[in-house]
Amino acid sequence: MKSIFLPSTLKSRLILVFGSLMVVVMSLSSITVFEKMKSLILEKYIESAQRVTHMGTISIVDGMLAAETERALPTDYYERSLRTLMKQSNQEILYAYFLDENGQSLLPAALNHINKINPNDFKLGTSVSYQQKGWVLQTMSGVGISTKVWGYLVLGFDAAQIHQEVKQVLFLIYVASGVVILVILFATNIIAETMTRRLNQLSVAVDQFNLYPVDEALPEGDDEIGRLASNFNRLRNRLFQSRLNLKQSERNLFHAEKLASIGRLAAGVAHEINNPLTGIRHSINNILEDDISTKDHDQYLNLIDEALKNIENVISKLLGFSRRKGDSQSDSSMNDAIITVVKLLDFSIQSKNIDFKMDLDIELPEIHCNPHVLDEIAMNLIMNAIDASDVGGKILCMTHFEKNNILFCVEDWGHGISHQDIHKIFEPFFTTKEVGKGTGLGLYVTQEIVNGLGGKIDLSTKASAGTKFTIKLPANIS
Amino acid sequence: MTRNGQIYILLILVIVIGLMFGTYDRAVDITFESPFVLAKSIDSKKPVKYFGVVSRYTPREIYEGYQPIMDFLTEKTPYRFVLKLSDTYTGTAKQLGDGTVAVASLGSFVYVKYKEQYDLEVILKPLNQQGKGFYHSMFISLESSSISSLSDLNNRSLVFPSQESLTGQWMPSYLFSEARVSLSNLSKYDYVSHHTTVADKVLSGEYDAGVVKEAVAELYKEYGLKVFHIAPKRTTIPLVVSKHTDQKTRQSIMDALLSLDIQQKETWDLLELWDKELSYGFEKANDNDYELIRDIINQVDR
Repeated sequence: MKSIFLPSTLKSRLILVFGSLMVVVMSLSSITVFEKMKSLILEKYIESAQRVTHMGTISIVDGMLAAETERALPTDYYERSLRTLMKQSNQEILYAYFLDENGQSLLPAALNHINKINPNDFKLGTSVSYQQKGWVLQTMSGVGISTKVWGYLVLGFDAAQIHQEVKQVLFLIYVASGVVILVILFATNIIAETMTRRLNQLSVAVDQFNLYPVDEALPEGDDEIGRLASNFNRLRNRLFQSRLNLKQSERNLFHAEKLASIGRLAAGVAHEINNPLTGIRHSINNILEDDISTKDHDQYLNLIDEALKNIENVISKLLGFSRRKGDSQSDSSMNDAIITVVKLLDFSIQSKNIDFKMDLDIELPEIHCNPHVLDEIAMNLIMNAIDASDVGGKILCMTHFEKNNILFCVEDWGHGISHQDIHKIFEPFFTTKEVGKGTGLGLYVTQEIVNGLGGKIDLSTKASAGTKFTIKLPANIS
Repeated sequence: MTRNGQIYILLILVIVIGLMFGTYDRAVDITFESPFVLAKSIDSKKPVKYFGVVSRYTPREIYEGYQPIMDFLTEKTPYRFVLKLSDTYTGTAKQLGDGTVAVASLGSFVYVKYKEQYDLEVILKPLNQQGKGFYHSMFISLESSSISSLSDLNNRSLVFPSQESLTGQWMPSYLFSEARVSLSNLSKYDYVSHHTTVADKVLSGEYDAGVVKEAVAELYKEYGLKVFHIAPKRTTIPLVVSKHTDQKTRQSIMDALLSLDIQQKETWDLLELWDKELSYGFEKANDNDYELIRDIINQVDR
């Protein structure tokens, strides 16, 4: 399912997911570090302020003790003590109060004039708050000895410096986090690009599988993608090897089918050879007789020579058909192939007294291919037509050029093909012929050749009425 | 970089920048609050009883040593005990006499001297580390000092605590009787308000030697003072009430302080904070315990 939130490419997903994850982790880390640093800054200033406050309590305690023992104190004792404290403190003291636990002042109200501000929303305790015009750190310390407490000294310090320090730390953390996040994002991009580039290479290699020669292997490696590329290379090599083996098997199959055809031809050809041989034997017997004249002797020798030429001719045709030809391609004529095959099958045609007619288009263009494959096509279709025809049957062999295609039709008026066999006839080793008369490879090989040439094969048949095979091959016009 | 990659990186950056701006105000907010909580509630409903202490130490030292005793008595009795200081030994005796304080830790000399005048009555006396109701006055000097006996004090300076203390009263005559060193044989001598002030003066080198009570001598040993002579034992300082102190108050004080069992860990932890002279428990006292001191005073007077 395609999600609208998830990008379509792996690289984008990596950037989005990994980048987002890193941003979340960085953000959490930055927040933790910042909060810790903020807390440390606050602690530092609060501790310092508390020390000052505690120092301030000492002189007030002395004042309290003096009062208890009825010793006389200077009238401005507390004011001087607080003023001294304000001067000595590193942090500016904005206000000072000596209060009881209910927040009531224990010093004369006249002392309030030394305060620089009077805090709003005053609460006992230690706090940092925004007061009037700025941040104020308030600390509070008990004025007492041991568990004796006379009251509480409350001091308010200017906390602008704390706020400034916190802002500086925040700025530094923002910058550092920003830089780290940028680096992470770009690093993620580079990693994603590195990974996906190799995957893309693999994808292209898979897509263009047939175009790649075996020796152009994908770069391999130790990681998962490298191992995938390595496996792909091995798969490709195995597929290439399989294809080679398949091709070799096909060749062997075609050759076997051809040999089978030749075997079937041989039966007919034997008769053509047997007749001259009989003539030769008869002539030799006559020559061996004593009373033969020189003239007859020469005639017999001529007859033997003629008979041998006939045999040589038959054998030459047979050898020419069966001889394995190379894979070289040339402009080949369909008509020539038909004529060659018909000559070879002449005995079979004659023996069944078949009315064999040829209607060949003399303007037929040539096909750029191995000429041998056209012989194969013609041989298989015409032999099937002969086999399907009864004695006195009829076969029409026709070629025609139409719309840049060469049409080759073989039509017989023989047995036809039954409905249930139509879908099987192009399967290898399927045959309806008697045992020893067919290998079941003829039509399979024919179809493979036609497909290999970019053509197609059509069939129309009717049981007991005949069959028509039409082969359409792209012409070699150029 | 592909266009998609750029878009997603930009998207993430926009979110990050948005987060930064969005959280800025909250991040720089340094508001902090630790509200005041009263450490220990004072039972203000209990009637107040004042506890006087003679000025044997500075007021600060008295608060450090005696305020925990006030807390203890407040907890263990129906009263809230509050310290009442005085600038002199006699002042505390007067506070007892006029009923300002219900009970006081007097010096032995002051008790004997003002018993009749203010109708004072001793109720308790503290125990020492050995569990006895005695203490010693001790002669001290710097650890580095060559003084090792009373006779070495000839032509040396000597400092005594208040003349209102037993030590301040008795030691000059004791010195003469023991080593035939009279005050006129000393290069200089003086009386100061508190025992701890004596120790401070010797420690600072202002005087060659001094006389303090046992608890102070022990306390200052770690600061570089030595004890070179120990005077005979005398009954520890009394806890005194007056005719103004009602029976219930004096009984509750006695019950509370006599209930201390220093063998208990909790009690030991508690007494650790008390003045060292009062941190080993108490026993009942009566006027006869101070008869010997009365004799000394008579001798001194003679």
